[in-house]
Amino acid sequence: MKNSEEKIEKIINLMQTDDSIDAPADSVLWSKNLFKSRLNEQPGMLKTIVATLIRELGPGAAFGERSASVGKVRQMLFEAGDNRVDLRVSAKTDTFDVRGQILGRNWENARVEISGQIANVDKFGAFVLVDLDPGTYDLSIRGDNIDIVLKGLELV
Amino acid sequence: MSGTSAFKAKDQEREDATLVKACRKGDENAWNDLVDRYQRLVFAIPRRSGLSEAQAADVLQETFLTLFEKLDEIEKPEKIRSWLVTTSKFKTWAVVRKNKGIYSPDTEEEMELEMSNLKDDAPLAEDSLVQLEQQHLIRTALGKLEERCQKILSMIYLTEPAASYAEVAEAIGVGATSISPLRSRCLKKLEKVLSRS
Repeated sequence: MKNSEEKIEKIINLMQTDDSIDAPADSVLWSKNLFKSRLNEQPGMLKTIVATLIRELGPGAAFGERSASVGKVRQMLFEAGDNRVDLRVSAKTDTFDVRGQILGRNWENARVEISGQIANVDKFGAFVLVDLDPGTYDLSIRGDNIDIVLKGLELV
Repeated sequence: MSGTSAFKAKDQEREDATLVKACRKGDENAWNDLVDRYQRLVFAIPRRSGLSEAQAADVLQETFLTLFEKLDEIEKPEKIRSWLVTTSKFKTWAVVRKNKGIYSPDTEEEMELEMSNLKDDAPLAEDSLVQLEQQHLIRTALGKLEERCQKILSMIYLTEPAASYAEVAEAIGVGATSISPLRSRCLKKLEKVLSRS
C-alpha cells in the first residue's frame, strides 16, 4: 500500500463491500453470560467494597472533633453492601486500640489488616487490633469473596 | 493473518491485549466489550461460508465458549483477533464437513491442511477471511472517530443503498456543499487511525 490515497480507496471499497451483520442478540447475550460462571467458580476473585460511615458516636463526634481523651471510646458504624461493621476506637496514652465486629454472614476467619498489623475475625465476627500509632489508615477485612475497605480511618 | 498488514491498527491490538488481561483478572465488563467487539466478525465467518443463521449462531457461541475456557492459556493476547478468526474458521469447517457427511478434522493442523486444499474461490479461502478481518478493523476504527464522521461515512459507505449528500447534510445539519470536503476529511482521519503503529 504505497500512499494515503490508495489506502483510502481500499478503505472505501472494503466499506462498500461489507455485508456483515450483527450476530443474533440472544447468542451474544449467551456468550456474555459465560463469564458469570467464571466469577462464581473462582472464590479467589475478590470483590472490593468501600464501606460508608453511617453513624458515629463518641467524644466530640457531634461537633466533628476527632480527638479522644485517654480511656474514651469512639464508636463508628459502617455499611458495606449487605454487611455492617461496628468499630470502636479506644485511645490509650500514645496509641490506639481498634475493636470491631462485622455484622454479616460467613466472616469467621476473615483477615483484618491495618498498617501491616493483622488479626483474624472470630466466630462472632469480632476482631481486635492493638497499639496502633496515631495516623490515618485504610482498614481491610478480607473474606472469601469480598474485601471490605474502611478508607481514611483517623486515629488522632 | 498477514493479509491485514495494509492496516497496522496497532492500537487495536493493544486494546485487545488490555481486554484479555482484564478478563483474566475477573473484569466482566472487559469480557462484554470483547464479545461486543468481535461478535460480528466471528459470526460473519460461518455466514460467509454459507451456513444458516442458526448454525452460524452455534459457531459463534462455541467460539466464545472456547475462548472463555482458554482465556488463561492464550500466549499472545494482542493477537486475539487472529485467534478468534482461526477458531471460528475451524468450527465452521467442522460444521461444513458434518453437513456433507464427511469426516471432520479433530485438530487445527488437520483443518489447516484441509483448508489449504480449498479452491481460491471457496467461501473460507484466505482472501475472504482477510477481507473480513480488514472490514472488522475498519468498523472498529470508525467507532473511534467523532460522531459526525461516523455518521457521514456510515451513511455514504455502509448503508445500502448509499445515502445521497443531501440526505447526509440533512442528517447532520449542514449544507449539502459541505459534505464532500467533510467526507474527505473523515476518510483521512479514518485512514490515520488505521495506520497507527
